[in-house]
Amino acid sequence: MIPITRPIKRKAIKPGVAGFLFTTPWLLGFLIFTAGPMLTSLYLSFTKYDLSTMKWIGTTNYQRLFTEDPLFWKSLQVTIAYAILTVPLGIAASLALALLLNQKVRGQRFFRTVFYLPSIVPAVASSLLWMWIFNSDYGILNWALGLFGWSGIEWLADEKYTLYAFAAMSLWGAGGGRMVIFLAGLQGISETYYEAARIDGASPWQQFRSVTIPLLSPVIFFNLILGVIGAFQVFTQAYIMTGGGPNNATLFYALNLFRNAFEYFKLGKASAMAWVLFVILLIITAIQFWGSKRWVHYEGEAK
Amino acid sequence: MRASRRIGPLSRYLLPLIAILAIGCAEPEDGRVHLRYMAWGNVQQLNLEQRLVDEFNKRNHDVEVKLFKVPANSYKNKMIVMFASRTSPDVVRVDHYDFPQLSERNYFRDLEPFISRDAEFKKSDYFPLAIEECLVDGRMQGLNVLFGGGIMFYNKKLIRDAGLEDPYALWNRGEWTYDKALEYSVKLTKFDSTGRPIQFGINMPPMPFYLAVIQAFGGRLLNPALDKCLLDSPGAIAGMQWIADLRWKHKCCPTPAQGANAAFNFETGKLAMEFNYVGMTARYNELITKFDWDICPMPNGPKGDSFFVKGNQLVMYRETKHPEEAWRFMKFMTGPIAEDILYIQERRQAPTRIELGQSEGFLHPKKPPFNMESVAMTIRRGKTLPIGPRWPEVMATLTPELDNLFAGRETDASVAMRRATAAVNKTLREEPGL
Repeated sequence: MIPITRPIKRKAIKPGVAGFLFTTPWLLGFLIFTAGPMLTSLYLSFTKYDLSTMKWIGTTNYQRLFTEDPLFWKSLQVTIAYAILTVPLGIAASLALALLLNQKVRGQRFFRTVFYLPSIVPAVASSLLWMWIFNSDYGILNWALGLFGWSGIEWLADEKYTLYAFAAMSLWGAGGGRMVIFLAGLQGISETYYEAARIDGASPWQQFRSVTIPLLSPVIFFNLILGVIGAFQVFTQAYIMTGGGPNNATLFYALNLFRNAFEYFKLGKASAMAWVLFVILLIITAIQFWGSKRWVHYEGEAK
Repeated sequence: MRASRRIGPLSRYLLPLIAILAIGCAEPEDGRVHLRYMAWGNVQQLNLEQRLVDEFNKRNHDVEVKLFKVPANSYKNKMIVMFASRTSPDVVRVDHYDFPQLSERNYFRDLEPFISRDAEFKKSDYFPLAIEECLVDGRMQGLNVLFGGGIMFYNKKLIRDAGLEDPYALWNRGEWTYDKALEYSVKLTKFDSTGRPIQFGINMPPMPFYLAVIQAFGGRLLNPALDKCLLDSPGAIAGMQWIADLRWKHKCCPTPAQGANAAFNFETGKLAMEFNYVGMTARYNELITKFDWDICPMPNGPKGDSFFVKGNQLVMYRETKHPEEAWRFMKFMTGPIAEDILYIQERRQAPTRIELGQSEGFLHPKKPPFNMESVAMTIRRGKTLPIGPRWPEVMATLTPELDNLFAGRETDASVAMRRATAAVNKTLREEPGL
């Protein structure tokens, strides 16, 4: 007798479940490595935790940060000044560079590669390089300034100049990444807009102001958001080059946070600092999104 | 059948992966105990550490130690993370700057039980200062390695060419003082016709050497309880003023910019005298071929000598699974064989064992430096540094104020030290960990 075999019924997986299954690795990674530590640090920010004992102290860490810690305010001030200095400057410089590299000239690919290279140099290596450049006695920068009669500027030792030195360095390091994004944005602008503008008699400046800038505004907005977040997270350069000095002139927020956590073992305070930074960035980003409605134009968007 | 079909993919891919991971994480089953030892250092130091580990493994067939190297700049972070996450290596070398802070968190095993039942290990074999640095509440929590004190290196050729007497001879007559060192530094500093420096007399004493300078002037950084800053005392101010004046008044010591990028390092032959540790010997013997050099003690000040000591501590991780083997390894690393390699053959620092510190091989070497009695005096008579659990905070508070003085933004040491004292005392008054 031949046994009767019934066909195995495979239960169809609903598309939603399949999607969920596919995203499970990411979700697990997010929960374990991002959301978990974030919530832990939120809890820690209400404790006094020094790696050996943990004690719930409510909002004391936050209160002390705002009312009793001059270095918290100093580091916030340094970081905000750095962001104000570097973000607009960085966006303008990388946009200018992208415009230049968008021209059809011989060796275009070579120049694009060369200008992108600094952004793949590790921060530690570029910090050491810039320490040479900024050396007040033997550095190439002071040598060049000396040709115009300026000399002896202590770029990394005089608190009047250190932030400008860091800003110059940021243009070199982060400019390449932003430049590539701008370049991609520029190449996405159809030539027909420029042709139409030219037919209407627009000058190159008018074309830039009335065609390039509006159509590139989503990319500028993207770079603005990332630039502000990046500026608030500066750490390696200050850690390597100045250690926060001179006289705390380069004590960036992230460096101060790191010191509290891993040098003084004030992990509760450091967690509170991390959450304050998170809230600051959240507010700044929200303001940027709110303001973007006035100046960011998306193609096909009805206004 | 159905069940096996259901877990098919699981058994085919996931289980072997888990098995491989489990095998990879487990200790190899070769009948030996496997220990991990964590250390940092430059290439030469790490090669030496490896040589010592190999020597130990050769002599102990039941144990295998693996050297776990971590770059110096991330060493402390790595160490803290591993201690806190209970994944620390069995034996760890800890810089003394971090030792009290970490011991306060109970990461280290108390070594007294091992010492009391080990007939081979006698505290009396070691210099008392080497033992003192490892004590926490009177109990040993580490064994001292790379121990030594501050001394001065000097370029004999430059001193001879300037018609000056050998500093060690002055020391032996009791005439090597801070006044004399300043006189030498000024005479040994040279500028070219455009006013650019081509040779400096002395380097700026780095931390902790500046603490030794103020010690000789009668000052101290902290009180014995380590809870009050004393830098505003007349002695501390006088010592700090002497240091700042080297650079800004007498201009016989490179500024940070002049000294950057190793332009006036001792081995270049453009620096006549240098505050440093005797551990630099190995490097100088390798690099210096064009002039002769030697060492002498740091000068005496109006209120005494400048002798101080500092080492690293070998500690046993509190939760090691193999404490007896770890102790055996630690004992080897501070035993006669390892110390002979480290301090007599390679001259990395000074021995912690009295017998070796007084040996012919250590005191009368065949290569420079020859005046090794300078080191012997330091480790016999030096003072331990005022390093407590809050050392990193004290230094972070103090450094900006010292920066102002040493970078010439403030020329009056009394002003800078009063500010520094107020700032450090404020830090020390705060509740630790908050």
